[in-house]
Amino acid sequence: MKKRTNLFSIVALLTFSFVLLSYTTEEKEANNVSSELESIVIPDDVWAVFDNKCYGCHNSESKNSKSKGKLNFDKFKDDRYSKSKIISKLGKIAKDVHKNEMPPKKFLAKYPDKTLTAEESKLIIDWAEGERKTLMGE
Amino acid sequence: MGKKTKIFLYSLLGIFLLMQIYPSKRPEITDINKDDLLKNKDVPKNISSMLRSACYDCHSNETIYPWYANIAPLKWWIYDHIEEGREELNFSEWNSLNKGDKAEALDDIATEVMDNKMPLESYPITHPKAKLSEADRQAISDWAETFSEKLFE
Repeated sequence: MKKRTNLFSIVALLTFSFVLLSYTTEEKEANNVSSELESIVIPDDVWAVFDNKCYGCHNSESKNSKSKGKLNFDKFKDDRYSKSKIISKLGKIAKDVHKNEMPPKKFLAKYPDKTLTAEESKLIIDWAEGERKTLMGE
Repeated sequence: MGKKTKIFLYSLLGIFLLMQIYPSKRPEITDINKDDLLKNKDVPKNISSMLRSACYDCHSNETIYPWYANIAPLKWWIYDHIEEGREELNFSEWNSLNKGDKAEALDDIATEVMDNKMPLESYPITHPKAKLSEADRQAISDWAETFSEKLFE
């Protein structure tokens, strides 16, 4: 009997948080466009997350050549990434964030405040997937 | 030889023989792959021959198994690598990928080959043809970039 109550409360809690999550993300839909390039648009709220939690390693000045080589946000500007590169990077951003592979666990152990909240992850994934589809003409 | 050493050696032999009958699935080979990357006529000869000799054993269905790939425990390790390699990127199924996935694969090829991540370090030891020079790596990487850009022209 007790087991059943536990299960019930877990399901209830999950449903509740899910509803809460979709509500909060819906509210944010009015986006301002901060950096408009010929091929890619990063809305303010998306950029805020990237800037705060990803850009530190993924920029041109980064000392971490591995992370810089795999994704460099500075190269989204001025068409330094080709269209196919941008499409690739968007796909990888969505996948890696979805799989919780980025930011890396080791890095988060040192800097726990860089952890993406569920909301932030969803924001990034939705944006990356949407932008990728647009670029691919889908 | 002491009795104990004998027992020890015989049990080693026994374990080795048991390993040989332990069932393990060898990744299959298919000869006809209509979606293969190299069916595209615009892949230059020097690139296609490097891809064949340095990548195709793990990243296609046309694996050429060396003799030692039949011996356990080595074969477990080899089969594992091949399965993982095909799962990550299988050139035999290239044309079935959508453009976006192709772009991602080519992006990975360009960076991993340049960064000496691929081919795996252990592979050229037994496959000398898979040894890539700096110039080879640059050529593969440049090809991957242009091939990818052409997808979206």
